[in-house]
Amino acid sequence: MRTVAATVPALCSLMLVVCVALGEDDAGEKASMGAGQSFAQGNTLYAEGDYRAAASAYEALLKTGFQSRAVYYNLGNAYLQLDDPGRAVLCYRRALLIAPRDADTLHNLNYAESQLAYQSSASVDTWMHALLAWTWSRITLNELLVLTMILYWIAAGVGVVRLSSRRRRVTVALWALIALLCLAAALTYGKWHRDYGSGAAIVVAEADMLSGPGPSFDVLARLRSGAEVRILQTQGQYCEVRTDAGGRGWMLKQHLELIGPREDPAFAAR
Amino acid sequence: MATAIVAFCVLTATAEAADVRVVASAEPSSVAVGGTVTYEISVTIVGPLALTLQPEPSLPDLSAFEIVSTGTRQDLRMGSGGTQSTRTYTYTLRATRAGGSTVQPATVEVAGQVYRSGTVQINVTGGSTPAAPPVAPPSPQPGPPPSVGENYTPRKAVDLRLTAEPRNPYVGQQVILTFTFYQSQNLGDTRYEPPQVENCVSKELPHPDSTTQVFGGTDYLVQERRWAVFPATSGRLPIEPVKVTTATLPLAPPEELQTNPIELSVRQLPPAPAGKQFEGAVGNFTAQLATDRTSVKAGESFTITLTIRGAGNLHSLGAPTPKVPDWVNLYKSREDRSSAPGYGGNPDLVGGEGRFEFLALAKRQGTVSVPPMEFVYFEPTRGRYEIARTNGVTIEVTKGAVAEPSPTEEAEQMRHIVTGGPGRPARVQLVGMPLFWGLHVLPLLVLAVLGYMSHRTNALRANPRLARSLSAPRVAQAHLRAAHDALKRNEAERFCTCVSHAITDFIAHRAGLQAADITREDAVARLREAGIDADLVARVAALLQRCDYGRFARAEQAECDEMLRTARALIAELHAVKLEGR
Repeated sequence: MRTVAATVPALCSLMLVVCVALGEDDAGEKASMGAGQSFAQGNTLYAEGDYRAAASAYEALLKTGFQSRAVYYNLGNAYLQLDDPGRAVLCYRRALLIAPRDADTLHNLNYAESQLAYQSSASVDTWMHALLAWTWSRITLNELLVLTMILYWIAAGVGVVRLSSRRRRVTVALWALIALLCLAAALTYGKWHRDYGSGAAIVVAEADMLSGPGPSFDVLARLRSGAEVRILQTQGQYCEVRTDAGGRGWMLKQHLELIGPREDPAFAAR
Repeated sequence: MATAIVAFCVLTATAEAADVRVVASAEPSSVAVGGTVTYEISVTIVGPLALTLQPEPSLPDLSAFEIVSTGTRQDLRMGSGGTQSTRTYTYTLRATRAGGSTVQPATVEVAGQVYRSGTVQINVTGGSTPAAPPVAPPSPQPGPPPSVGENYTPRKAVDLRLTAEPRNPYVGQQVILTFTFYQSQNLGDTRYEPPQVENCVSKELPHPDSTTQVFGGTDYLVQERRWAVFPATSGRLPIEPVKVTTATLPLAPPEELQTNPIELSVRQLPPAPAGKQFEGAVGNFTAQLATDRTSVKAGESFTITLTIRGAGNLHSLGAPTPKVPDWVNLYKSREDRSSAPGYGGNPDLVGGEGRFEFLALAKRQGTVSVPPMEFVYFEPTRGRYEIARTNGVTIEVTKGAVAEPSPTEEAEQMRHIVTGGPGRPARVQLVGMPLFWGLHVLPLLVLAVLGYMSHRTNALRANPRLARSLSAPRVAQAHLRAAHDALKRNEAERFCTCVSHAITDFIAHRAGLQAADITREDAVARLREAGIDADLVARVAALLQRCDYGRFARAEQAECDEMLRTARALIAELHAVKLEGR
């Protein structure tokens, strides 16, 4: 039993290495080489001041399935130069999904939001909300998944030790690990739901928020390009959304775009 | 469009006694000479006669007044408490001479009995005319809606009509849809579906009281429903007929009636005045600018509120943005709109107010002067654009505790694009990998196996007899292997001992006894006690006896092989029977 318990951490480490290694796309280097030419073409157009053509080049690169922080970042810059801060914010958000701590992207996101005609009054009500928002904005989904995996394997190892040892210290450690595991799992689900499941941004100059799913309902508010909302449900051509300030209403689907990039095959079915 | 269904129920009447009340009132109770006062006589009849009787009141002496106009309205209610009809006769009186006047009771004769109202006191003063009631803002629709039955005569005992006013509105202008229901006979359950209108925002207006009117010598009960609609697009706008389901004859099945269809011709708004910002407001509005404080510190936020009041399409209008100095950041933070029928006391006018809040942040010390704003709206009755001007507001910004940022600081500059390669592609998301989830199953399997082993070990530790019983075959096999080994080495005495021990130790372990505690005789006796088949016991005893003999008289090789086979067979048979001890 002790032998098995001793091998669990080692096996855990091995599995994690396998996990992380699988997270690395094997074809990544080859894809980078193939995408480099399109990326350079977009950069040239950008340098020449043809921002619309540059944006088209970056968009075409994304449609091939190649996604990177740099492509989304440059595309956001192109939209910003085209005086479309709403789409720029969307691109920066997507870049941050890949590299949430990138200083340049964070800086330009703040700059783009300052250019919006409408600024969402982000309401962080409690320290708990603030802590959650801080955590989710600085860590990727994969990092959270790996953290959860580590806790899961450690908890399993301690569980094995607990089978042969009835010491109180082991029991306490096991329950503490289970609590941490639940917390990590909740954080992971929250991150997924926030970034890939429901987060969306307004991509038209102005979008009406209605009291019901149809054009005959009253207009509750008018949101401007770049405002972020959470999608609660979908009905026909309309989505029920909630703004950061807590307001609820219905909007046309075509006025919204999910922040989680739809080209991501892992989330194609959402 | 609200889809509530309203039911009208009219019951047949029977000649029974009625409860009659007569009430007279005057409003206002004091009026100057030349002013008008509304004198009303309400006759309420409770009971089945309410449907058939329409008694005319006899007026008291009104010589101090001149009757300017008269009118009648009727409210008919039916419920579990019975039928009640209230017929109200309204007289508009103009005071002709000063002095207090007591209007004597009005009388009504019902079924040969006379009922009286109370007296009413009206003071007529000789001074100036009392102040007029507040006047509602001008209506966005041209003139009041048509009165019930105006220019229309019902042609059938049950007739319907749908009207719209105006028929050629502008985009965003209020249109009143009026559905009128005429009936000159009693009906069964009656239901109607509100009109269906696309590309419009609609609100239901208060229901006017039912009235009784005479057309071609026939009394009709006339009821109305009204809606205010605001067309959202220009062009032809059809309005579906209102459908009514009712039974016009007793015991007849319900039939569906419908009104005439209507089509509005919605006009596009004319071009907005050059240089003016038009946010889609159609109606009649006023605007006001306010701030939540007059002095703030640099770095602190304050709120500028633009309030638009009036009648019109408040639900969809936008608002211009206040002009502030460059060193003040301004963000639109909140929009609240509330509108309802009854604006300015006019039940058919939809209006209210919209509040547009802007969050302002001054970055340095100074005076923030927000100049008066111009709110451009389209006035449909005049067919032209009007401008509502607000007041200006001023906020003093004092030196703040935080460092005031410079407008040219780096934070206000956009960082340049990535000019190298496109970087590494984003990693595959782990949640989409089957292996990732497979790795979650492995620890569960390990835990399950180890848990089972731990449970079994603990169970055997807690029960030594069970542990010994379970180990019996293993012990017997060990002795038999030793016997086979002895046979190969031609050690006959040891062979016989091992075979004997294989049998006796197996029986001892299965019986939960120590092997050393049992002899050949004990083993056989234990088998007999356990109720084992006598033939099997006899064969066991015979083998053990042969083993005893074999220690002293050397057995042949073939005989030893036979003993070994017999021992294995007997152990297999004993394994199949129950031998556990007491």
